[in-house]
Amino acid sequence: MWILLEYIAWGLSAAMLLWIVADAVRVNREFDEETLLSSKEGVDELLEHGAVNGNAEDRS
Amino acid sequence: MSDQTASQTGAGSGQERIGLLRVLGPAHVWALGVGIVLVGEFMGWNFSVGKGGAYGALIACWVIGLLYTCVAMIDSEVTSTVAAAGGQYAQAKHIMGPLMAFNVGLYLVMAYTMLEAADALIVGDLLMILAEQTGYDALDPKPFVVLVISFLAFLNYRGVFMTLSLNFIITAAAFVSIVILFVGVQPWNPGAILKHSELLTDLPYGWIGVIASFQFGIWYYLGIEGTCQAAEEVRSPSRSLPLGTMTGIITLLIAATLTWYVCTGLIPWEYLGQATVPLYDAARMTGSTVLQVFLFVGTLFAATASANGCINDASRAWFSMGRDRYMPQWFGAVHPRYRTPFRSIIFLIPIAVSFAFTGLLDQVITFSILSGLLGYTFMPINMILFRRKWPLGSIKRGYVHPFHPMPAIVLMILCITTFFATYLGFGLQLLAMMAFYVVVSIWFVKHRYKYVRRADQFTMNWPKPVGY
Amino acid sequence: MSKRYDPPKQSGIGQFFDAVFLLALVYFVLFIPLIFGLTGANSTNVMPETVNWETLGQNETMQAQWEKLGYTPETAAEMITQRFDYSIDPLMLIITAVIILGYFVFLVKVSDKELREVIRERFDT
Repeated sequence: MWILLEYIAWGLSAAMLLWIVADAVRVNREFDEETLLSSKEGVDELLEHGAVNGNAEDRS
Repeated sequence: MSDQTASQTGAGSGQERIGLLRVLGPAHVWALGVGIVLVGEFMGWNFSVGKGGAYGALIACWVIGLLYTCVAMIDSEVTSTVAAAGGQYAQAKHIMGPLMAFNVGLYLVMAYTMLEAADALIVGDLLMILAEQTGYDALDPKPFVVLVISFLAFLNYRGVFMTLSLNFIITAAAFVSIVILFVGVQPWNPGAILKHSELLTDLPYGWIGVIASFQFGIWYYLGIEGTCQAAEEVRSPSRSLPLGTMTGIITLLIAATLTWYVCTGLIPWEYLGQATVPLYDAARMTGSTVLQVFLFVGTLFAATASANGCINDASRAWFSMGRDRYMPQWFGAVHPRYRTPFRSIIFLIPIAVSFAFTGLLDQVITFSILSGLLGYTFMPINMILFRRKWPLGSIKRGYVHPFHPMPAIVLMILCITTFFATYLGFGLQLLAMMAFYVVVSIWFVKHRYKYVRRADQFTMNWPKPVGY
Repeated sequence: MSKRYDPPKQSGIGQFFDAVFLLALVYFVLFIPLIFGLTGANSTNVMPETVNWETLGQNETMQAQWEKLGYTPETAAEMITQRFDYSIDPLMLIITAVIILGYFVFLVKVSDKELREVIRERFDT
């Protein structure tokens, strides 16, 4: 039973990691670098009522 | 952890962020701090028993409690002014300068990534012990280590957290398991299950061992200073932060003392000093299956909650450095849908996995402790310069800690003592860690800093510092 | 007064090399010493000539607990006799102290110089 669990764990990990990498690659293709890097430091956004990470525009 | 969560909720709700955010009270701050740290009671603290004996570990627990009280006082004051995400990294950037900030950012990344590796390692070891108990003694912990890290990285990547509430629940469950174990061993009936009078020995190394055990005494509390990063989400930071942090430290002191009491009454110190999952071992020793199940689940939950917060914090710090160009700018990217620092999350996965694979729990923990300790050494210097450059009254402080500069001086002395404690027994590892920070610092000055925009780093609306 | 500093834009390749450099540094300085066992705790074992619970200094309660944990005198002996080596080598201690102190002095000095530049650009231009 334990050996089976080991394989399942490997499988699940691989699936999740692959998904992450695939998604990252997809995002890199779909969005241009300017958009992805448009976030600014939280300090001024606190004053400007913006979101900390959220200056990147969702274009989809 | 907290600040990241804030940005998640904040990003989702667009412009109404402020209204949504300032909802946390002292109780939340308390739960946040304890959430990351509690895993320290389930593993790691017991190496201090190995370094100084059972009584040595107890003294270390209390003395290091004093160190953290100073950390909390100093951090609360600075944070009540730098009330924004970024934590100690943003503090260093404004008060001491870019190179210090670069180092503080790295301390955060390393301390949290190594803690995360230790958490995953523990899950693997725990399952290995369980497999042995059920008669299968060749279990490979690696797939489970990878599973924990990739699952939590996956959650963090997708920003599907509910981390706050989820972590509350699993932390509370873990805490309850300690209390249940304490009640289960009948502390009112010494000698029945707990056998302190026969198991406790004199200090095996004398007093130098007590000092040596300060190293792992840090582990009882490492990460509690993360509460101060909740500044942005707290209703009244000046009241909630000191209160939440101090009650957090008191809770940990109590939990640590209970843990110490139960474990030393059941397990010979030589074993305890080298065990990987001491609380689970203690439950095994009671012979009660119910207690064993509780502590198994408790250890699992505590490790998961902690690792979850660590991935969050480490990637956040790495991301902030990328955004400021301290690190390649590429890392400053935000995922357009999930609003997470997705590249930083991916980048740190292999580091956590490979250190967890070594199985060398005490040394992985030592890397985490040393990075934390360097961060605490930075604090007193930071505090003294902060009061000098922006004296009381020049900027609005939400909280002013009493007795300045006493806490700074005490903290400095305790940090130096703890460096010495690490030198005893782990001297080469201390040197390796220092070599790492020296090399990256030189790299930063000679190479990296030329890509950084100068004035853009100073984002607070403070007046010009005194003496500049 | 002083001119604004305009940083060069780093190329993608340059960024990639920097990331690889950091990763390599983590593995060379921290990971390799770890797996080759260079950094572990210095410890010694003094094994008694005949190994049993008495010679290992374990009283009856301790013996019972060890056995509950699944150990025999033979399997527990190494764990019980292992002791850290706390002898202090003055030279190593001084070297370590100088490195840590020097590191912090370097940080404070250079950071201050860099901060002055930041402040000047932020407030004086």
